Amino acid sequence: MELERKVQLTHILGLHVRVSVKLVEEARKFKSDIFLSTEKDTVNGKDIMSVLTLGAGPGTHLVLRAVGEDAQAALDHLEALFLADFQT
Amino acid sequence: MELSDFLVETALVEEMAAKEKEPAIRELVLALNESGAIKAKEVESVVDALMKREELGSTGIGKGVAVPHARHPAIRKLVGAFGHSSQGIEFAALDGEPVHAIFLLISPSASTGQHLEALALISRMLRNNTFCRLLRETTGRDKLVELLRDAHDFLT
Repeated sequence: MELERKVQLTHILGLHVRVSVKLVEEARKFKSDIFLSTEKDTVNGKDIMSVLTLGAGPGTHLVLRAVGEDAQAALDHLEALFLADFQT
Repeated sequence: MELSDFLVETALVEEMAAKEKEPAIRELVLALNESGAIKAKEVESVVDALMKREELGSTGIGKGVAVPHARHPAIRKLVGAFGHSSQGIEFAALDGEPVHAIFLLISPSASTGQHLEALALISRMLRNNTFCRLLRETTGRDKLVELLRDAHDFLT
C-alpha cells in the first residue's frame, strides 16, 4: 500500500531538532517506509540527519508518503502530530 | 550558507577536556568568549540556555555528533563553536553512542531561519559517512580546520 498526505508545518520554530527527533521516533514505530517531501527534496522520514537536511521553516507545506502494510495507520498517526503542532 | 559563515575558527577546540555534557558545553561557550564572540558576562546565561534546551531532549543526533543550540538575546548574529574529543563525551545521544564532534550554535532570539539553515547544512554533511568518520578520527588543530574548510565537498 502506498499513500500520501499533505501537511503543513505550523510549529513556530520549523522542522528543528526536537520536532524532527519526535517525527523520526514516531515514524519508526511503523513498518512502512516513510518519506517526507518539500518542493525541493524527498528524504527518509526514519533518518534524523535526512529529516534535518530539509531545513523546513514555519509554514512549509510537506507531503508525507508511507509505503507498506501499515501505511494508513502511519499517516494517520504522523498527520496527528502535525495537527497537534508536536505538542504531545 | 557555509560552515565558515557561522563557525568561529578561533573557537575550535581540538581536544576537549570535558567528558560530560555540561562541562563540554561550558568549554565551548568559553572558547567563544575567548574568541570575542560572546561577552564574559553572558557566558553563564548562554550555558544555562543551552542546558535548558538539552533538558527537552538531547541534541546528540547520532553518528558521534551533537549540535547543542539555543537562542540568546545578547547574540546579534548566528555564531558557532566546534569541539573534537578523541575519547568521546557522554551526551545521552539518541543512538546511545559517545560524542566525538560537537557543533555548538547560538542564534539571536528573533531568528529561526539561519539556525535551521545551519542545522540543515551540518546534517547534509553528516549523512556522508566518510565525513563522520573523519570528524571522529581527525586530530590536531590544523587538520581539523582543514577538514571543516573542505566540508563542503562532503555535502550530500
